[in-house]
Amino acid sequence: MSDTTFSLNLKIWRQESADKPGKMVDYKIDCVDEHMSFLEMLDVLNQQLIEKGEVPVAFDHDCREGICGTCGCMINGHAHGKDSETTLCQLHMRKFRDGDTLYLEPWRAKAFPIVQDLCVDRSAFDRIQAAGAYCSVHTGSAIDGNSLLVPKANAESAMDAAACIGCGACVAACKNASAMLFVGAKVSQFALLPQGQIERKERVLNMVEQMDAEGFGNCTNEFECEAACPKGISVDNIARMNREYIKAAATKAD
Amino acid sequence: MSDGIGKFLLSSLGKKLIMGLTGLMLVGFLVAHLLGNLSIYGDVDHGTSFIAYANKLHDLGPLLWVMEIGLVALFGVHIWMALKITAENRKARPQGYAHPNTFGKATPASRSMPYTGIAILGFLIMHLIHFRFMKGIAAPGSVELHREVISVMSDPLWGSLYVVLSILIGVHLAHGFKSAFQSIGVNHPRLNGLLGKMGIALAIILALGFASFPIVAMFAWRTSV
Repeated sequence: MSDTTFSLNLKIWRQESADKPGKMVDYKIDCVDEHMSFLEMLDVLNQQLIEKGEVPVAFDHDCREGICGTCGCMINGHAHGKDSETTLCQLHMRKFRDGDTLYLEPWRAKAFPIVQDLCVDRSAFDRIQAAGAYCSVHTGSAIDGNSLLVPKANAESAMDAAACIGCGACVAACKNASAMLFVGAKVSQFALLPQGQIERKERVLNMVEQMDAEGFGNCTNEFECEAACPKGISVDNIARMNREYIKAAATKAD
Repeated sequence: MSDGIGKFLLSSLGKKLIMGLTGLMLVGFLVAHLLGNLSIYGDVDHGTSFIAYANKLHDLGPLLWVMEIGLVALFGVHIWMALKITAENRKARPQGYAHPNTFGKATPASRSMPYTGIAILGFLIMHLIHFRFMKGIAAPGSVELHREVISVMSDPLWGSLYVVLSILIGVHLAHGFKSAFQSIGVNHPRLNGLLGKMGIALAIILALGFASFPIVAMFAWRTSV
C-alpha cells in the first residue's frame, strides 16, 4: 500500500531519567510512509535504533485511536502537531513533506516532570481529579431516567466538556503551563448536570486548590490551550470555572 | 467560612478576579482622565477651560484625596498581582521549548502584557513627576499647570515619549479589556464578539486620544506659546 516514502530530519529530546540532564539529538529517518501515523513513524525509528544497538526513544501511547489521552508531544512547538483536534496517534505522515525538520519535545511544565525522553508524569492531573471530579450517586436499583431533568443545552455543554481526555496538551501549549482548561472542563461537566450538584461548591474549591498546589501557572487568557486541545474543549469552560469558584468561595457554608 | 477570604483571593482564580476587576476600574479612570484632558482643546492660548477643569478637581477638597488614595490602591494592587502572577508563571515552566511556537491565538498584545505593563508603570512615575509633584500645582487658578503641560508636551523628546506610551496603553488594553471579562467569568456567545470589539475600539480611542495631546503640541502649539 506504500505509494510514497520520504525522509525526515528529527530533533528529539533525549533524557535518560528525571534526574539526568537531557539534550536534543538529531536523527534521520528515510522510509516514512505517508499512510503512517506519527506514532508508527516513531515505531519505525525505534526499530532502526534497536537494530543499531541504541536505546529507543521513549514515548507514551496506548489506544492509538485518539480517545485515551496517553500520547502526545510537541512537534515544532505545537502540542500534538499543528493540525486542529488531532492527537499524535491520529496525525498522519501525509501532513509532512520530504526533508522537513521536526523538533520533538516533551510537554514542558514544572507540574509534569519528565520520566524519560518524551514521557512525562501527568499524575498531577490524577490528583486534581481525585480532589473533586466525582459525584455522589445512590447505589441500589436504577432510578427512573425521566425523574432527572437536564436542559438540552446543559447536556450538550456537559458532553462537550466531558470530551476532555486529560492528555495535557493545554498545559504544554500554554505559555504559563496553566492547567485551567483541563480543570475548567472537569468542573464544568459536573456543574452543568443535576448529579453534580451535591459536591458542586467544594468540588471547584478543592480542585483549584489542588491545581495550585501542583505548581501549574496562571491563565492569561491567550486561548492557545483551546487551539491545541485535541478534543476542541472551549475556553468557555474556564470562564464557567471562574464563575463557579467565585460563587463557591462567597457562598459555601461550612 | 472557616477559611479566610485571603485564601480565595490569593488562589490562581482569585488573583485573576482581582486583576480583572482592578484592570476594568483603571480603564474607567483612563476614560475619565481623557475626557478631562480634552478640556485643554477649549482654549489653548490661555488655558481657561483646562484651568477651570483643574480648579473644579481641586474644589473637591477631601474627596480628591479619597480619589487619589483609591487610584494608588488600584494601581498598587493591579501591579502587585501582575508581578506575582508573572513570577509564578515563569516558575511553572522552568525549561522552555527549543522550538517555541503558537497556534496564532496569542497576539503580540497578549504576549507583551508584562512588558507593556512595566513600561506603563515607568510612564506613570514620569507622568506624576511631571504634573502631580511639580512646583506651584497646588495654587488654585494657577496658569502654571497649563504652561507646564504645553511645554512638556511640545518638547520633542518628552512629547515623543508620551506618544509611544499612549500607544502602549492601547496595546495593553487591546488584550486586557476582553481578558478581564473572561477572568471575572463574563463569557457568553452573545457577548464575546462585542466585548472583543469594544476592547479594540476602546484601546484605539484611548491611545489616539492621549497621543493627540503631545502630537498637537509638538506640531501646532510649539510656536504659539
